Amino acid sequence: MKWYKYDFRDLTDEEYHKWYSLMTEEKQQRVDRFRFNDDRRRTIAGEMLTRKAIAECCCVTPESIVFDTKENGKPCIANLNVEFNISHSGDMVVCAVDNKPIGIDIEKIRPIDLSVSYKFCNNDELDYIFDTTISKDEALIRFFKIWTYKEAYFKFFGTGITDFKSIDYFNTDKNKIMIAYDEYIIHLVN
Amino acid sequence: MLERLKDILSKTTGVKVDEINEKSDLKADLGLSSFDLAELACVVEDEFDIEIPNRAITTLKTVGDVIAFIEKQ
Repeated sequence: MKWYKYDFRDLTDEEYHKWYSLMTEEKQQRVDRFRFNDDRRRTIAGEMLTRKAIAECCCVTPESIVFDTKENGKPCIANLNVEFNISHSGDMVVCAVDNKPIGIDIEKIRPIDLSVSYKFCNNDELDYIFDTTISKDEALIRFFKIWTYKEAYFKFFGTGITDFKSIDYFNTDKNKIMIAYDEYIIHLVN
Repeated sequence: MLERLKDILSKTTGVKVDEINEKSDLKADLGLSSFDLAELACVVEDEFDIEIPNRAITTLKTVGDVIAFIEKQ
């Protein structure tokens, strides 16, 4: 398994047009539909990162990669036996590539109302977040650790988000790798 | 109800109230991420005193979908 990161602010106009032109018509329409330029650039940066990452792992050219969708809706590559997953938050786009299913999620650590935890976390996770011996900043980090793990778990299956509380951060049947990068938390599940 | 929801969305996203309508796409027009949607669900639950099951959150694509969900409750 390998993972890659990219700051979409580095995307040049030339790259923007190159990778946009390689997108499927459906993806181009999705990009065109975005109101905010950052959303367009983030999506095109994701296309570039994914193509380059898979190309490196599979020894092919980025341009030769053909995207498709599995029956469950999870994106896949039509002409290669490789799995990938992509996520973005803030200025960062990340992509994981493996020879078996993988899920990745990234979140920028930022101030949020931690009461959202009650909707998405089970009792053990709530105890971990609202530990009275830790600071508010540490509580935020703990929340985003749990959130990114759960999102990556759902993305591993490609089934979309179902019941967050049923996915237990402390008792998992999957491999989980957590990466703290700058002001971001990344989780990989495979 | 639409006006209350538009007000919440405007405060959350910075998009002007008069630029939000029932057809507004939560991701494409308002720039919400999946985590933003989760946060929005919590705010809507509090504001309208309803419950939005986790599995329903990803089915909400437009402002109209949120309105329809609130009305069903």
